[in-house]
Amino acid sequence: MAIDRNHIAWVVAALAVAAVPLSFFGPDGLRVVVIGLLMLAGPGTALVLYLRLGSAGAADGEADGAGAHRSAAQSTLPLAISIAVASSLALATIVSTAMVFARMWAPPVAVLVLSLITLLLLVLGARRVPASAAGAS
Amino acid sequence: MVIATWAPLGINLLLLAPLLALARRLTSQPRQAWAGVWLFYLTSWVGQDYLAPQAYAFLLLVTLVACLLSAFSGWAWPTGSNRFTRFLARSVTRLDPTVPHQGMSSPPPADAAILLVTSVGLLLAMTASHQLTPFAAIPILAVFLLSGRLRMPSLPILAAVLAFGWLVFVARDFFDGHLTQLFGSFGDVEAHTLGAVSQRVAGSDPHVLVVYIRLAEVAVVWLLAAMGAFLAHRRRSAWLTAALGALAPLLLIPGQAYGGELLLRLYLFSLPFAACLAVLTLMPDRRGGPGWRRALALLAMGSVLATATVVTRYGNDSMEKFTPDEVALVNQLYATAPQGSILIEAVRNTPWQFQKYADYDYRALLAAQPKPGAGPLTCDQSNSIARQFGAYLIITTSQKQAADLLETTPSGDLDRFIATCGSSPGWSKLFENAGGVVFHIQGAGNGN
Repeated sequence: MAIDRNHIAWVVAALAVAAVPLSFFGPDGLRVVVIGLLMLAGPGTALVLYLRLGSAGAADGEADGAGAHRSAAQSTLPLAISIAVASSLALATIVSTAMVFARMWAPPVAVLVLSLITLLLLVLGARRVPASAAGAS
Repeated sequence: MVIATWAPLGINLLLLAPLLALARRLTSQPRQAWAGVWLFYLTSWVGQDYLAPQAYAFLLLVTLVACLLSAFSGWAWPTGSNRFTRFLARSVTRLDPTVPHQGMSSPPPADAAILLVTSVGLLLAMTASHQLTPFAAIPILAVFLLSGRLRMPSLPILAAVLAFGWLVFVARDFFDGHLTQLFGSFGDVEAHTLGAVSQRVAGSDPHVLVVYIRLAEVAVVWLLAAMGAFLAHRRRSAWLTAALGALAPLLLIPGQAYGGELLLRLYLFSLPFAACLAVLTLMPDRRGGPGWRRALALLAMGSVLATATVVTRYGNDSMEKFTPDEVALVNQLYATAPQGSILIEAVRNTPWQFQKYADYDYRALLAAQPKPGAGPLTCDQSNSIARQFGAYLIITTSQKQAADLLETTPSGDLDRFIATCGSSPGWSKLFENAGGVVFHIQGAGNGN
């Protein structure tokens, strides 16, 4: 699970970093894919990784043994995916709505804001995992 | 346009995880949850999954409810503090002693605070995106609060404050100018229910058949949901949360008719909950397979509902599907008509306003709804609109289909209208293709 989490975190970080220059220039198809994925799931995935949703540690305490842990983790996986997508889209909506009402419409700035929030959550999540592991030991 | 074409598939795929997360909180075991999601897709004929704010807001709503039931389930107050709270707790326990515990245990305080902020963000985005969905969230959250399924009393209040606050302050111009439309029929339950249904049971025979099958499918889902709730109550397994979630949106009925579409939308809001109840009639509470008899019954039910949904979902496709020729015609119109021109559609069913929304004065001669005993369309209506500054009139294939299917005009009337009015003085045909025709009607003013 830890390896999976790290892989996901690196992919999300790469998306967040790549989206910033691509919001100004680049091939149209690549811009749509990278910025679209960031808006669809970037900040939310970072949030879910920070909260450790979808991992055995976040699952119900009733689980007992490795199999039960795996089962409990699977039961929160749909919720983790839901929150990752919905919170990413909601954040993009809130940022863009704020820009419209502030009369400061600048899509690259919105992408920058989403990227920074994503990276911040990823960093906090990365720092939190060793801390909680140390606490557990 | 490519994104719009694939949006229904994408939106339904995005809905899978939230629906499953919610179903896991409403049912006793994973097979029931999966079956509930399966039934949702089979009976979701309302067609609100195209590239539109309501599809997005629905995704947020389902996620919000799943998140709250997972992380914040429980009583918001001590259940023995007074007679009312004691009565509530006893009633809920008597009706349904189970609170499903799949998923998360109570999160740590810091994580709970983050999930609460996330939930508020979902509410905020929902409010900014769609006008009806936030109002549906209010009764759902309120009934969960009163039944010990939500321990955050601030959330239903916040949902109400955001929805009404947005209407009064952010949408102030609309609010000031549409008070009668918004509140004129408040409390008229009969008009919002029977009136709205009877208005829809009209039009040509094929259209009426589609409407009847839709009503039958809704009745089957609700009947199965009621049976599922009854059986689960007898088996002392989880049902109350799903039943409350299914019934809560109906509290919006006294509000307003929502353009006659309220019942359709309420069916959609209640469907994720009703589907989870409906499957309880055939899915056992124990872990493991349902057995071959129940499996066959499920298969039969799914087959019947899937077949019915082909009609209920796609029965009106002849008027709801726009061809590339029609879109090309609209694009030609946009390229020709100067900004500020009056653009008229014969029937309100044209693939336009996806761009240049505020650049033109859009008019319609007829609404796309059944009009019993409708008379033929006359040239005078268009001429009077175009009298001063001129206008562009577009008549498309899907407008003709809508007029015939809904009997908005006598059968074939739009072809007659084109043949007679098209040769009138001041009318000139600008473009024509397989998708329709565009006329320019000369005005008396600047001749535009």
